[in-house]
Formats: sequence, structure tokens, C-alpha cells
Amino acid sequence: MKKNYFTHEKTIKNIEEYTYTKNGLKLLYVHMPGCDTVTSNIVYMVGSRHEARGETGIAHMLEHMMFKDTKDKYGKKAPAPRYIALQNKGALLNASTWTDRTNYYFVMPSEYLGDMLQAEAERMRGLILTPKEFAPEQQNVLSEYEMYADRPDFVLSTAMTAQAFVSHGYGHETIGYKSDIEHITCESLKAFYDTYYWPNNAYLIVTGDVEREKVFRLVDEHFGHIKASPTPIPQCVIAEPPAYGTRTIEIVRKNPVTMTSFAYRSPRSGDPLWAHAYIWSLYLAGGKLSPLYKRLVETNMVSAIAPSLMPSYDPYLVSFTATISHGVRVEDVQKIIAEEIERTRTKALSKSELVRTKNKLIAEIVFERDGAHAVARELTEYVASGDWTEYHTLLEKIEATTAADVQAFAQKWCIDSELIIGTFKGS
Amino acid sequence: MKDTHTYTTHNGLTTFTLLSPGNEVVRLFLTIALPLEGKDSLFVAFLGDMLERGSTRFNKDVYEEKLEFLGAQVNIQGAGTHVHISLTSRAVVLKEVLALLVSALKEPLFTEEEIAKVIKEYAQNMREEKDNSRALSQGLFARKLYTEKEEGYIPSIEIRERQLKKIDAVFLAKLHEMLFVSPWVVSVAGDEGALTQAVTSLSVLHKGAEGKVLPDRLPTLIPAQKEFLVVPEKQNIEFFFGNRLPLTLSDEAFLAFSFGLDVLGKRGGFSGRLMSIVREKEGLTYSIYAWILGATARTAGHWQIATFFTPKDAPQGIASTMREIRLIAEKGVTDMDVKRYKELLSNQFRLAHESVSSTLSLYHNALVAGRTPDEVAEYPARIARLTKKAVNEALRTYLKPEAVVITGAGPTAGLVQDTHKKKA
Repeated sequence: MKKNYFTHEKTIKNIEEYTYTKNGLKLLYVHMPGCDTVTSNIVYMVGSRHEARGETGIAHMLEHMMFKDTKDKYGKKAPAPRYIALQNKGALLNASTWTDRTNYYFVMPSEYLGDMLQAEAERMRGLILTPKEFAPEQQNVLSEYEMYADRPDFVLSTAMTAQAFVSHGYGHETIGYKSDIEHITCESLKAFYDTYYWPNNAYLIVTGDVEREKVFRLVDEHFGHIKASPTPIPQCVIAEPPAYGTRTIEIVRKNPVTMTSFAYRSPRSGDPLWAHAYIWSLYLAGGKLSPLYKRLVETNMVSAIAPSLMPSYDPYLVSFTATISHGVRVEDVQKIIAEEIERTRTKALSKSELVRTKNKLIAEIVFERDGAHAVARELTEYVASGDWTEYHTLLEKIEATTAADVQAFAQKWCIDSELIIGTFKGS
Repeated sequence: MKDTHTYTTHNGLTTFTLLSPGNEVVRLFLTIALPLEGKDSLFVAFLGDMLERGSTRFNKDVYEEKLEFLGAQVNIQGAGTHVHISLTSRAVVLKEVLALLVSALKEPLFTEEEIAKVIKEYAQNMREEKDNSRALSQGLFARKLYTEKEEGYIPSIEIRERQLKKIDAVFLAKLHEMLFVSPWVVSVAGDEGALTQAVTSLSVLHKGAEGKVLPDRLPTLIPAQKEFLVVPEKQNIEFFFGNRLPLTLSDEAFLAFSFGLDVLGKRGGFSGRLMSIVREKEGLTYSIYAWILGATARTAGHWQIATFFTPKDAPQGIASTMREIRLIAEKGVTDMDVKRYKELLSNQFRLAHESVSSTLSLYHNALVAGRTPDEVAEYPARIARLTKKAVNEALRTYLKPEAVVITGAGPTAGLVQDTHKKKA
């Protein structure tokens, strides 16, 4: 009998975790019989927070280069980047870079899993980086940067995260600064790739209509020759210092749009407090009954207000951003936002406010879990923030949250010394 | 997912059900085609927004509160001449959620106070739109291609600002009456009980409908032209290239043309020539795709390419895009292209069934466009039968490089256009 190189770590409901003992690759497997498709989604535990000053945007740039030529397991250059063959067969495929991770996925009919894993395995250690391939890709990334740079929300968010994190790597946008993107070289990309792109720094998520034994066999076939990293993967341990006071930022630019945003430090994902923050932000601005919607949108003071909170490995930001209507004073909008935040500190949510906010939140999560790709997509964020079991436990944490928990979160985390108020003032 | 569906159509009411046994979530789409014209799209959007503001039975807050307590999502939106409704709910509370939707549709509350609020919202949104170069370029493009009567027409911001002044409770009540005597398409996915419950609750509202009055002939091509709007302080210029496509979904050549256009610029990923050449080889843009919009089984739409270039790259970007249009129109697709796209498109058809919502969307959108589920199911076989000759003939006939309309919006000061440069 062939040796089984997969150590079972845990199974929670429908999700199974294994470690591939040959090289430390983690495997999450979700069997979804009858769906006829399979998603492979590899998550490298490296994102923009791992970037050094002067090299912002390098994780994202490397993500682009991962669609270039590769060598196969025998060291022979593939005739074309592997993803092209899959794309030509109709694969839905893409990649994305965020603060804590970079992920690459393929969605295809189930019989193609072997091809998908071959492509993923080859680019894990066989990427060929050449200046000839790099030059046009650098232009593409600069073009992507310009696309974002036109948006007031991006401009405001860039300034606010820079203000929020003076030490931690969360302080810059994933795309990086334009001047840094222009200075990335093939050599620096190669060094970044050789530091982080190893099986023992990755989770492979396979969801869909494929049997476990087949997944094991194909992972072994395609990833079996890859060694674990020769040196430990560098860990990024930076604790952002306390802020010591409210910070305000104002950007004035020729634009018809004016926006304002309030941001506080949020707990890290996995912490039960994260669920409290989630409910708190959704209660305040997450729907037509929310106090900020009622006082700002219903009165036409702003055209939109939205909360934002992402799962994160380290404490990140929970924020509200409003687009202010023409003729309305920014200060008046900010005063209302501050008042409603203060109200959550002094008064607990009523039973009905809590129940409906929780129900709305749970519905949003559950309704999104439709199909193998959606499951893999959601798992990606929990894997990146350090604990994939949050996929199931978050719902339990939301259920268990009390009004006192939400109030305590507002009192302890949403304090003036952690507040950043940003304004994009169009003229 | 396994596809077990039913389909009925009678007197303007089309229903489609997708059985999803054991699924505790129910998903529903309802699309209503109002007998209006493209120039009326603002009114349809406004009606959609007002329908979400409660009813005589449940005021706005009670309506929202009940939905949140039930953990359900109901969205009502007007776009073009259609009202689109989507509902997602757990099966155990479906009855209550349907009762809310039925009440919102049947007995909406058009108070002057709410109307005034929505008018202000729209005015603000239009102010913000003046900075949205993509929307501006797209609007200009649509107005060049379509007449005011047609679905694809997008009225200018100035016209919509004037239209906004016409809206009051009486006006909305008249629009609202049309809802129940217009063609409906209802599609639902869920377990057996949920399907019956949803279809029964909504069907009783429909009072029968005549089909829309359709144009008696297909459109002709618009002469080549370029027009650019100046939107200062932008990094990129947003471009649309294209023209009318005088084919309906029922025309044999439609699939062949669509296949050829996919070879040129298939949406999503890098498979199209435009992405692999203009983006990957030439580095001129981040995204460039081609697709057909607005065609139904009985009406024609248009083909378009959407992209953006920096002001510096724009002249070369336009030239490269036109070169690829010309190449494919004149030389056609290759045997290799045909082989490759046959496999690609038939696999993507399988992937469209990946989730309940994607499967339901596939069928619902086809039904709204006047296709039947059988015609949807035939798609892979039709793709398999397509020949290179048919594709190239369709491209030669309908993709005319000498008749391409180009619009752009952004920092366009350095570009040469056919008419006077306008300030957005």
C-alpha cells in the first residue's frame, strides 16, 4: 500500500484539514458532491504587511508575475504559462493580494483538478522571472494603480491607513506607492519569491465534487517533489504602538465628491471581540434602520454611508465612510457620526436592535456560501488571518454576543485616542 | 449542481423553478418589463427605489425591521425599462418574507416626504456621476447608438435632472399600475415546498400582459465617429468602442458573431486577443474586453469594447484596439481559435451551474431575454456545431472596422475627435 503522507489535523463539520508531511503544505478539503466543479485555491501567507519600506507593492507585483513562464518538476520550461492551457479550457481563474495573504484560484469542471494542481505546483517553486516579462507587467500594475488613484475613496483610505499604522505593515495599500512600484526590480521580486513562496507557507484549499483520495493522489503527484523552505519563513511580528490621540487628515482636490471617514483600531480576526466589532459596525451603519443611515442618508446629508471591517491577522481598522451631499458641511456630518458612536458607548443596544442586527449579519454570511468557489473564497480570509475554523465559529460567536459585549467593545476600542478622522474635500 | 427545473409561460407570466432539495435557502428573481422607452429609465429606477420604502400595510421602518428580524434580503431596482427584484430567504420564514414583498409591490406608500428624499438622493448621485468618467463615456456611447425609444438608450444627466422634476405621487401611481399588466419572469430555486409557495404568492398578483411593441426592423450601423468628454483631474481616459449589431438572439448568425467577438475580447481573464496583446504584450491598459449587450430573442443590441488608457498611451491604445478589430474582421478566426473556444465556452457553461444562484441567474436572464430553458440547454450542442466559416462570415458581415463609434471621457485634451470637445 502506498504511504499516506497526509496527517489529519482536524475536521470541523464539512471541512477537513491535513498536513502534507513531505513539505509542510497544509490542505483544506471540502467535499461537495453533485456540484460537478472543483475549486483549487492556494493561499500564501504573505501579503502587503510583509513588505519593507521602499518595496511597497512587491507582493502584488509578484502576484502578477506568477502568471508568467514556469519550469516543470524536471526543470524543463513549459511551452507557455500553465494557466493559459487552463484558461483555454474555460477555467475561471484569478489571484488577489491583500494585507495578510496572496491567493490564486482555478474553478473548473472536476475532471481538471490534476491540471489545476500541476499549474499551481509549478509556479510555487518553478517561476521564471525575466526582465523582458517584467517590464510590460510593471506597466500593467502602474495602470492598475492609476485606475485606483482616480477614486476619492482610495485616496482617503491610503492616507488614513498611513496615519493609523506608523510601524506596522498595514500602513500602506496593497497596490503600494507609485514610486515604489516604479522601482521594483526582477532581483527584488526574486528575493521576495524565494523568501515566501514555499509549501510550508501555504494552504491549498480544494472544494467541490472530487473524492478525498483523488485529491491526496494529485497533491502528492504534483507537489511531492517540492521541498520545504531551507530556512524558516520570516515572521512579521510588529505591534503597532498606541496612538495617543485623535488624528485628523484632510485632502483637498478638484473633484465633485466630498467624503469623510471615521476609523478605530479593530481586534484581530478570531478574537471573540471581532464578532462584537462586526455587530457594532453593522448596527451603526449597515442598513436602512441603522442610526447613521437614518440620520444621514434619510435626511439627504450624505448619499451613502458604509461600514468596513475585514478579517485580519493583526488588529486592523473598523471604519465608516460617508459620501457627503453637495452643500452639506463636513463638520455637521462628522458631529452626527461622533454622536452616534458615543451613544453606543453610553447605552446598550436594545434586545430587538441586537437580534435583528445579528440575524442580518448571519443571513449575509450564510447566503454567500453558495457553491464550491464561494466556500473557498470565504475560507481564504480566515486562513490568512490565522484560523480557518472561524468559518464555523464566527457564526457561533455572533450568536453568543450580548448587548453588553457590543457596548463594552465601543467603550474599550472606540476611544478618542484611537480615532482617525479623514476627509476628502472635493472642490 | 444538478439541474431539475420546470418552466411555464402563459399570458405574459413566465415561471421557472429550480429544485434544490434539502437547501434551506430560497432564492428568487422577478423581472418586470414595463412598456416604457429607454429615455424613461430614470422613472423606472425611481419606481424601484420607492417600492422599497414600505407599503400601506407596513411602513418603511416596519418593513425593514421585519426583513432584518427574519434574516432575509429583498432588493428592488429599476434599470432601463425593467424592474428587477431579488429575494433571498431561509425556507422556514419564506411565507412571511413573501408577504412583505407582495405588500411592497401591491400597496406601496408614495408619500410626498419620501418622494422628496429620493429626489434629493438622485440629484446628489447625478452630481457625483459628473465625475465618473466611465459612466459619462458609456452614456455618450449609448446615446450615439440608440434612439430614445430603445432599451439601450441612456439619457444624459441634464435630461435626467429635468425628468426628476416631473416626479410626484400621481406620476408614480400611474407607473405602478403598469407593474401588474406587464410581462413578468419569476424564477425560484429552493426545495419543493418553497417553490410552490413562491410561485403561488407572486402569480396571483399578475393580471396578464400583452407583449411589448417591438421595432419593425433591425437597426442599421452608425457611421464611424469619435467624441471625447473632458473630465479633468483623472489619471485615465475611459473608452468605449463599438456599434449596433443588427441581429437578435434568434438569428443563426448571432452565436457565430458572439463566438468571434469572444475570440477578440472574451470577458474575464486573459483569453481574448485584446487582453493578451493590448494588455499583456503592449502594456497599454489593465483591462480590455469585448461583449454584446442588449440583444434579446426579438430585439437587437450592440457590441462594445470597454477599456481605459492613460492620456499618454491613448493614441497608441486606440490604434492597437482598432488594429485588432480590423485583423479579426478581415482575417477571421483560426482553426486553433475555433477548437480552443469551443472547449472554453462549453466548460464555462458547466461552470455557470456551479452554484444555485449562478444557475438560477443563467436561466432567469435567458428567460428575460426571451429564450426558453431548452434553448439554454442546447447551447453546448450549438457551440459544438459552429464552424470557422460561419464565425468568419458573421465577423465579416457585422464587425465593420470602418464603422466603429468611439467615445472617451477623462483628460482627453490631447485627443483628436470628430466633433467639438465637450466639457462633462
